[in-house]
Amino acid sequence: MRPLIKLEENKQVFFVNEIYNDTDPTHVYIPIDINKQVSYKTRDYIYKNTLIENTLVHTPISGYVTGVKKVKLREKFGLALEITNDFKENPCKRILSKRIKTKEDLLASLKDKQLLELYDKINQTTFQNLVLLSLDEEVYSMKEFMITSKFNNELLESASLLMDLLAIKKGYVAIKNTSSSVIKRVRSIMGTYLNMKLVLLPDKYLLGRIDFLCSYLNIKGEETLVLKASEMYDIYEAIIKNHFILDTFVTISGDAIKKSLVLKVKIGTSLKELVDKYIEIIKDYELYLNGYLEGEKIHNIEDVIITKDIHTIVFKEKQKVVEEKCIKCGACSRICPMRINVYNCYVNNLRHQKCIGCGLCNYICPSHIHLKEIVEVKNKNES
Amino acid sequence: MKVKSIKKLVLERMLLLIPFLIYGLYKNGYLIYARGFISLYEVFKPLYLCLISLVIKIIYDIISSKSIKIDENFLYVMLIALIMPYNISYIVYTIGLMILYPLSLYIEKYFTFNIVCFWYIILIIINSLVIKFSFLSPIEEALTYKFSLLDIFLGRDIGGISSTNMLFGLGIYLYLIYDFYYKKDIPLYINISYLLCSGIYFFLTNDSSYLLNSELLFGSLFVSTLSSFSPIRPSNTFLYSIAIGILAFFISLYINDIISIYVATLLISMLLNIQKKSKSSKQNKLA
Repeated sequence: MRPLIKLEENKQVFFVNEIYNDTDPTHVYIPIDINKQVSYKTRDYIYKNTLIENTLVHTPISGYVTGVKKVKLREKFGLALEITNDFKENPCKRILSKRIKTKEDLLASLKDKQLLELYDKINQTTFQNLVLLSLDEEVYSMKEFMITSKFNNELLESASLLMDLLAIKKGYVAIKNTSSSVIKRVRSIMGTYLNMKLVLLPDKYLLGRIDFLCSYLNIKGEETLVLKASEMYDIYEAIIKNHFILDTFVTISGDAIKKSLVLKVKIGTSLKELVDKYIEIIKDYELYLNGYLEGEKIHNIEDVIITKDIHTIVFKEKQKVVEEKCIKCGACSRICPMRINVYNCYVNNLRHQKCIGCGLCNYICPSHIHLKEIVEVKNKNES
Repeated sequence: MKVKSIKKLVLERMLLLIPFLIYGLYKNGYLIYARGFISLYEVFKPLYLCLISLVIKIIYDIISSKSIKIDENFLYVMLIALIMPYNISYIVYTIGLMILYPLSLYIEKYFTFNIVCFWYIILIIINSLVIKFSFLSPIEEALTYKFSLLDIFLGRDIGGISSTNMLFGLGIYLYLIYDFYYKKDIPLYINISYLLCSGIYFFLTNDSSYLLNSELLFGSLFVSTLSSFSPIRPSNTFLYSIAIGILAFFISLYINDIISIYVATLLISMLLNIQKKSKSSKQNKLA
């Protein structure tokens, strides 16, 4: 791996230093699998917390089914069940509180709350280290920073509980060294968590990835459980508070909007509704889902619904940039953290299995060639 | 890390060439004028050459695409103006460049080679046929100098009209090594391999005249590193640079030290292209 680089900051992005809470969307959209049967019809009433069996998602609101909508899901389009909010928040079931004493209890609880990604992550193996990561990879994202800033006590409490349950000996709280306010807050409460250590990370792109992070911290990746602040907050909600995970955090930022912010929203909320409520668009924009470098460009804002996969939405000022002829400067190959000969892939129109889709080749190219789209293997089965 | 567009890259490189141009105006303008060898009008010859080549490029742009593009060709035409010998005829330079510029852009579509070196060699050949083959300015022709190594280092060497100052070259290289887009290994390897050859030659013959070559430094810094004509992979870059350094030394030894870097760069860039084409045709056959 190559030495990592610091990305240039966009000085036209202004963040609001608080998390906005959007609790009352008019509609939510629950993605459905069209290959499976849907047991709901239009005008059916759905209680809050109802498990939609088709996709194993809990509904974040109560209300009536009003139809089906085409939405943008991870790298493809799909259908979603439209539920219109009655603003009553009628829950379908109360969760019985159960004390979690062992790893098995923890896994069972995660499975019950449909936190399946976390379940898989924790169920893999026995861990020696735990890293609570508070690092936003891109300059356009502030989600992890804000969560750590506002919920530092809750995060450390969950981390400590996880370390006890999973018998992990070493714990690290990894924070970007430029986040001075968060560092101060975490330092002030670290004394009560003796088995945890604060690690300051340089402001370098890709340090949020497990491989790069573990290599930087000089610990073995396979023995380390790395959880982002947002994931740790989910564990806090699910395990300590015993709640279903019905909300998610998302950053909406960019230089085409007046103020960038982090929002806590109901899963399934439409982006259009959030933008109408909270965002003031000041310039012509291009929309990127999950970051400017790593994410994908979206052409229609109305297609986007907020799911757990979405962490950042970037409104980038539309620029009249024309793709020019390659000048063979080789910057793409020199910057690639996986040491891929990107120029060779570009010339021969080849995709590369090692590509991690970080977008650095796009970022550095002086000719504005979309190299990532050429090199990245979107479906890893594709050769 | 700062991200640059082609326009920014080209403008930055052109700005870096301005100290050389100013030194050229001093050495091949003011100093010769002060001794009374040339008229006041002739003082600005380095600048006229730059303007002529820039105007040719702009006219060609307007004719071909009806807009002025700030692309790599701007850098090429500025470089050619700086490396020309003092006695280049304005007519040869203007007409030659008017023909060579579109011609080489056309050939480049089918066969890549270092355009600047190609222009340089063709213009020198035509100039030597029309006038005479000499790199001396009027003052250098009239007087005999004995240059010390320090003189050569400070730019008093015989060479291109604005390309002889090694001090500026080293200073600018120190700046360029922090530029991510600059192929910084190329000048390093070229100069090391050249110095090794000339050092060995010095030990064998006690002849120190090949140790410092100001034109080699300038050529390796700006001409051999032109990204469109140089390799990308580290191993290829190493071979390319070493080959240029060694070939440049032998050309200096047997032909001429001023043109050595340009001839070597042109030949190696052509070889590189032939090798690339044969490799791709082999791959096509295999496919």
